[in-house]
Order: sequence, then structure tokens, then C-alpha cells
Amino acid sequence: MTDGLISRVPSLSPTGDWLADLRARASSHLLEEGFPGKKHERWRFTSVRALVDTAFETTRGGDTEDVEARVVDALGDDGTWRLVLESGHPRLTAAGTPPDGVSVRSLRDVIDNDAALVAPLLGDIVAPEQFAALNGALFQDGVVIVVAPGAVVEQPIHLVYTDGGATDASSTASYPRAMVIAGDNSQCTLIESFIELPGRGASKHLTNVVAELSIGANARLDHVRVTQGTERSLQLGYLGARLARDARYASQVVAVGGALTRLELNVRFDGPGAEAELDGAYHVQGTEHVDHHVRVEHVAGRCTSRVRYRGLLDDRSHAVFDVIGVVHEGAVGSAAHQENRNLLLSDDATVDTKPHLEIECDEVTASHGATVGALDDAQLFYLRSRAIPEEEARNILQFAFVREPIDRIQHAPIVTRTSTAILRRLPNGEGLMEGLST
Amino acid sequence: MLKIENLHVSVDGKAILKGLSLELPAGEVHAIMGPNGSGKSTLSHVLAGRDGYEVTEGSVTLLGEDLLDLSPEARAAKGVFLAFQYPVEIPGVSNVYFLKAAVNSLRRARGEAEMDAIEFMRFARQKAKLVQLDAALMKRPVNSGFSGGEKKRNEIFQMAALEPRLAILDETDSGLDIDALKIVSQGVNALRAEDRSMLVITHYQRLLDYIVPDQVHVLVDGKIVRSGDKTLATQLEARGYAELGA
Repeated sequence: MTDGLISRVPSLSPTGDWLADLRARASSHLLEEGFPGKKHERWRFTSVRALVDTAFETTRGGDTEDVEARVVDALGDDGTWRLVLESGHPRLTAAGTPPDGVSVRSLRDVIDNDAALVAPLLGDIVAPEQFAALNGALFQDGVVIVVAPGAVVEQPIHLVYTDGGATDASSTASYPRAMVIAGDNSQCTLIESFIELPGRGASKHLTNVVAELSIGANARLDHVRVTQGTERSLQLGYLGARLARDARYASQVVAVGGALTRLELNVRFDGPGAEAELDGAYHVQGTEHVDHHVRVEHVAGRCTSRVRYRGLLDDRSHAVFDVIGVVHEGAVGSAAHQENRNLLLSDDATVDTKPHLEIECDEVTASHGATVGALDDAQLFYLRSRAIPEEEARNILQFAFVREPIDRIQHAPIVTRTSTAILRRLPNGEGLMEGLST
Repeated sequence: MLKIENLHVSVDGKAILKGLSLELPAGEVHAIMGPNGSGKSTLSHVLAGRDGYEVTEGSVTLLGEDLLDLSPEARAAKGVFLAFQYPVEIPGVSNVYFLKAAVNSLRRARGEAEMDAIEFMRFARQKAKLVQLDAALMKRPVNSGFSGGEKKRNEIFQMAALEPRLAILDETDSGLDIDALKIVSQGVNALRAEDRSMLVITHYQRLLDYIVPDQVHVLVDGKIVRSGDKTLATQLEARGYAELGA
């Protein structure tokens, strides 16, 4: 036990300084409670046993010369304003000037010089509990993005998380942290991409990321979050969004592969009239494991949430999907809808899906549903009767099943990239790339 | 073109076709009429190669080649086309993408060069005219939210694009109003050709007023009980299937 991840957690005492207090809260939570295991309801289907038994080295990062060039190689030019976070360290100089209306600073800079900006939000939008506490105790740096009130930002802000490619044998971990403060009446697109650059050794890498989004009154934030994992990548992610009145948050979460990819997404409506569209797509095969836990809190009334996730599972992979919509007392006129659909391509793949609602208020419209099914024989026959070979027909239907959430992404190059990432994993799927966008 | 000899087919152990024989020469249109449950749809599915049908006896050849051992896609590549009674909806796949994949699969199987996007669009627009298919439907997901008439027109549009040797029209008239029936029939008639044969499967004589067959076969209880010229359809309409009793 002492050799595991817990050995990395320092014992800290509160000093009266907000950040030291936050870190102390995070570390004492972990030292007292330990990491969640199978007996925790939210971790029943996702074992982190092997992970917590590993003593991950914290990567330093931030000083690899050619990271940007390698990111360009990996992602191409997608028309976004791109900032690389190498092991959580933002490479601001290389990123250049952000689009008008947006300020981008390192978290460390803001903490040192402008703490009042983040102190009320950091660790408040995402509470420092469970693995979010690990990040709270250990994060070194991150990024703070402020969108000026009223700013309409056309060019997407793109955060690319990577670990820079350590090549030694030890397992490494990074604890990146991002905060977005979208001013009232602003409009902006945020893209987060988690990628592994080629050239890494066989060692495992844990990305324990926390992102906190504060969306102002009548502001609109479009958010795309793409994880492309490998058999070495482990991700324990936390994402919290807090919406003021009439704010609109549209999120598309795409998880492609990864030994373990888990995201906890919490959205809270603080002001009335706000709207959240939470879409997601996941594709797992081999022994990959993906886990999405979504929680929507209707604190204020007249808000609408729509959660729609779709998954494609092959081989012995495992997907967990849990969504809860909580409508608080007095949140009159709330609408909460949830849907999770899964396509199983193998008898050995497993889905644990649980959409549910907790409603403490009348005058609410709510719906929830989940499906788990196999490829439709009638559809398959229809395609084959039109001369399309069976393998290609299967690929077409599989991709068609998961593309709906991807098609909601507003930035075309990201639609192409995520589609391609999925198609590449289907047998001879590359052939489908041309033309599927039509 | 098509030769069916003594075809016996079972579904879940139950015999549906019980010794069906039929010869369809090149360039001809034959109608198969029959009451519900006579085996009409089973015949169309067996010819197209759908799973779940067990051929216990007999043979089916197209231009002398055995069809029954081929996969559905291989049959399509040989020139078999089934216009479905219930065209299948495929959300997430656009009609134009679907058809391009189909046309290019066919060309690949025949060792021909694939069409590029521009070439294909020109080709598809021309074929769409034949059945007055709205251009907007090309971009929509396959059959999703299409009306009954639009679905059937889409089938004939696909038939026009795939240029089959043997077209099987399974209850193409079902769910069509008279205007849609005329448009679909005109499309089919325009596709009649010397090197193309058609098998028109229908419950009612109505369709055969528009698609005039060279021969009519009456299918009752899994067997052809009578064959004749187009007047047989009219007799059937007047006197019903019962008189032909099995």
C-alpha cells in the first residue's frame, strides 16, 4: 500500500492561505478515506485497483523542445488556436497570442499574481474528493482562460494535453488543471484533446485532469473533449460546469480507446433559463474500459438538460455509463432528458448503464432510457443486397450508430479527426473515411 | 436468365416453398401473384440471399450460374437486385453515401474503376430524375423519415443506379397511392431492357395495369399452380385465388 499512488500524496496542514487550505483538504481526504474501491457505488464497475497500487512518477514536463511540432504531426492544422499542456504545464510562448477577447494564462501565474480571480472557483466547481482530490493535492500548473464579457470568439481555443513522451520504464502521472471563466454574454468554443505522442515507451501514463468551467449569464460555451487512448493510457478526469442564468453549454465528449478512460461530468444550473446539451460517443475494443458518470443538478428552475451518449463496444471491452439528473426543490419548469444507447459487437463485451432521475419538484418534464443491442440484421442485409461487402456494411452501420453525437460538433476539422479516429479502429475502416461526411 | 427448379425452402423447420419452378427469359417481365402466406416474400428473400431461409431441395441459377451458394453481396454483383417491400431505414448514413458505396462496390466486384464524388453526383442526379426523387432526399439518411412513396421511389432509384440483370420487385405497390404508383411504374418501365429480366411480386392486379407482364404465375401454398399471359391477372382479380385452390 505504501508503495502505491497514495505514497505520492503529501500530508499537508492548512495555513490559512486559500490554496494551502485547499491542498490540505484534498490530501487529508485521501489519507483518511483512501481511494475509492468496488464498495463505492460510483466505482462498482470500474476497478482502479491496479492503478492505485502503482507508484506513478510525476512527470515534470514543460521543457521538451519539439512538442508543438509533434502535435502538429499528430493532429494536423485544424484552424484552432492551440495551446499544448505538457504534463499539465502550458506552453504559452509557443502558442502565441490568443484570439481577441480571450486571455490565457498559466494557473501558477494567476495563483501568484491574481488569486482572487480563481480562488472562489478552484476546488469549488469540482470538489477535491476521490481522484479529484489527488489532482487537488498534486497539481503543479494548468491554464486559466478568461473570455471577456460580450466577446464573440470565432476561433476555437484548443487545449492539447500530452505527457511529452517519457521513454523510460517507470509509470508516470500528470495532474493538469484547467479553468475557463466565460464572461456574461460571451460566446466561445473550447476543445480539449488528450493525445499520446508517438515515441513513448511501454510505460503506463495516468492523466488525472480537472477542468472547471464557469459560464456567465447568457453566455454560450461549446465544448468538445476528445480522448484518444492507447493500451498504456489511463485517464481519471473530472469536469465541472456551472451555468448562470440563460447560459448555454453544449458539450460533446468523444472517448476513443484507452486502457482506462473515466470522466465525471458535473453540470449545475445556478440561474434560471439555462440549457445544457451533453452529448457523447465512445468506442472501446480489446480489453479497453470506458466510464462516464454524468450528473446534472437543476438548482434553478426553467433549465433544460439533454444527455445523449452512444457507445460502440467490441471484443472484451467494458463501458460504464451512469447519468443522474437531480431536480432540486423549487426548480419549477425543469426539463431533464437522458438517453444512452449501446451497440455490442461481441458477446464478450459488457455495458453497465444506468440513467436515473431524482426529482424533488413538481412541474418537471423528464425522460430517461438506455438500450443495449446488436447490429440490426435487416440493415445489414439491406446494405449487402446492394453489393456492399459484409465487412464494409458492418463498418458503415457501426460508424452510423456513433456518429450522431460527433456530428453535433460544430468545428468540421474536429468532426473529421474524431470520425477518422474511430474509423481507423474498424477492420479496414480507413476506406470509409472519404465521403462519410456527405 | 433466371431458372428456378423444384425449390423447397423452410423457415424454422416449416416448409414454405414446396417445389417451385420458374423460368424467366432475358428481357421479360413476369408477375408472381398469390394470397398472403403463399410464399411470395420468402421467394424474394431467398433469391436475394437473406439469412434464415433453409433451401432443402432444388436449385436457382442466373445465366447458368448457381446463386444459392453466394453471399447477398456476391449475388448483387452478379446482377440480382431486390426492391424491398419494406425498405430499411438507416439513420446516420446518407442516401447519397449509401448509393455511392453500393455502386462502387459493384464496380469493384466487376473489376471496373470506381467513380469519384463528382462523377457519381452527376450520375446520381440523372438516375434520380427517372423517379422524380427530390434532391433533398439524397442528403437525408437512407429512408429515414421518408414517406411510403418516397421509400419505394428510392428503391427504384437504386435499381436504376445499380442496373441489375434480374430485378425482383417485392410488393412494390404496397403503401402507394395512385400518383406514386404511376411514378414508380414509369420508372420501372423505363428500366425494361433486353438484357434485364424482372420478377414482379404482388398481391393485387392493380400494379400490373402499369407494369404489364409478359407472363403471370400464381403462387399458392409454395407452388406455382397456374401460369398464363397478362389476362390471368384480370381473371384472378375477378374470381379470387380460392378458385385456383391448392
